[in-house]
Amino acid sequence: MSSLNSILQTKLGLSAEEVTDQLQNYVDFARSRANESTGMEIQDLGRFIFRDNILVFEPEAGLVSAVNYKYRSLETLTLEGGKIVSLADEDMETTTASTLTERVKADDTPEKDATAVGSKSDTGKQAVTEAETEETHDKARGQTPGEARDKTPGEARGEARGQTTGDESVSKTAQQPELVGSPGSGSGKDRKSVPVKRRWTGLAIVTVVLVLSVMAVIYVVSQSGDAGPAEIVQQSDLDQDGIEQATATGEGGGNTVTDPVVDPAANNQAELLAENAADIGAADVGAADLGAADVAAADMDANDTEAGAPQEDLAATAERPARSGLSSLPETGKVYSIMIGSTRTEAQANVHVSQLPDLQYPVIVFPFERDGVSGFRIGVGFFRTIADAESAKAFLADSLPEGSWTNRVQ
Amino acid sequence: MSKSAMHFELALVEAIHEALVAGDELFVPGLGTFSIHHRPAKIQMRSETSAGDSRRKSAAQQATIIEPPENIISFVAESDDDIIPEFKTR
Repeated sequence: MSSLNSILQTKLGLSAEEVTDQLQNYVDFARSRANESTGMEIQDLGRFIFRDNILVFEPEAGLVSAVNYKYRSLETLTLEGGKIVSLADEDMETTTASTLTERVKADDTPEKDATAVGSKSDTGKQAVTEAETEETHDKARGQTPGEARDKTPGEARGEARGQTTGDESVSKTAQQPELVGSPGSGSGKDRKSVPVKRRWTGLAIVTVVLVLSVMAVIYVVSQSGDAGPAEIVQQSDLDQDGIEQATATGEGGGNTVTDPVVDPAANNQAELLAENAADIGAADVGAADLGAADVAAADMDANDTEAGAPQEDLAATAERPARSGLSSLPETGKVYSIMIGSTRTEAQANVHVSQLPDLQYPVIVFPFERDGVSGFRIGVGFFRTIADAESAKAFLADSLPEGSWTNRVQ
Repeated sequence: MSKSAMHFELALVEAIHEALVAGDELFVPGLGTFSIHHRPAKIQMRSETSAGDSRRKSAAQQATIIEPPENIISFVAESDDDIIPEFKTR
């Protein structure tokens, strides 16, 4: 324990001599004031006053509360004829424990099984152990019926203290001390008597759950809202790979093609034919599984199998307004774009973009990886349907490089 | 009281607070010794005649009063060590 002088030196940044001098002056002042009728009142500490020539100290309530912070949640309990013994401290006086034990033994009512004291009393040992203290205390508070339940803990505590300190007989705060019901089945008042430790534990658990929930929500939102180009590329690459595996009716037209090695433009055309078959009304393409290595086109007649037919229709739709695309990449839903080229590096892609004429469509550069080769693709416009994309592509035919193809980017 | 005296008083009060909350004893030269006395929890028994149902009528009811433990602030004046001027908070 440090001396007051050293403590004050640290707090005030003074030398030992200075602290001694100031302390002496202050003590002289305090003692002189304590001789007055009102004494020496020191805020947040208490009052010094001489009584019968003895200097006494009356601590403030705040100081008393501060030194009893550990026992703030404990209340004075009054049990009538009960078997419940409550301990709140390891220093509990057990002078009456034997009496309680005898009472428990004598009582044959079934409620005794619910008490922690009963089992201990049979062994002849001390009636209550430290481990049982808190639990028993809770039971006593939560299960005491009668008037005790009608009082708040503060009222009960105040009443009990007032009676005990006044050396008066203790009034009845509980008429039936036997245990009834379960400890946790109490009302809101019962909850007030839950020990602070348990309250904090519960609060901590709730807090952890809330934090985890918030983190999960943030993660989900970030995953859904931060769909960057890389994810788009993956999706589009998957689609494109599937198409390439599936084969297509390329520009050469004719019958079903099963060669998996085709150029991207032809692949894309196959996808367009497959997906727009119903709308276009030109082909009945049985592309049941684009990820498979073939396209079932058994029912195609000669006219329908010609790639030129749907292209003619698409060309017709090119008469639509050119500004049918989206101004930006939407967060959800299918999105198609016109691929105008691929480069090895982003810088090269940006150079190409800078050389493009004003297409009146947004241009996107995004990375992709395919067969272990990574690069960057340049897409023009965002379209909800392939038809729109093709329409725009036809409209921009003079401005776009040859070989441009429509691809799904999201 | 001058500013420096008030400043000193604040530091002194803080030092006494910290010592008592920590359960330590603190001697203030010229005043006395502050300390904490721990009073353990108490069980008091009180007998009374039961007014309950017939099953318990014959037995005397006893009330059990359980008081939680408490820390009591004690102060012993320096010049009056032969007398115990301990002041209890209750």
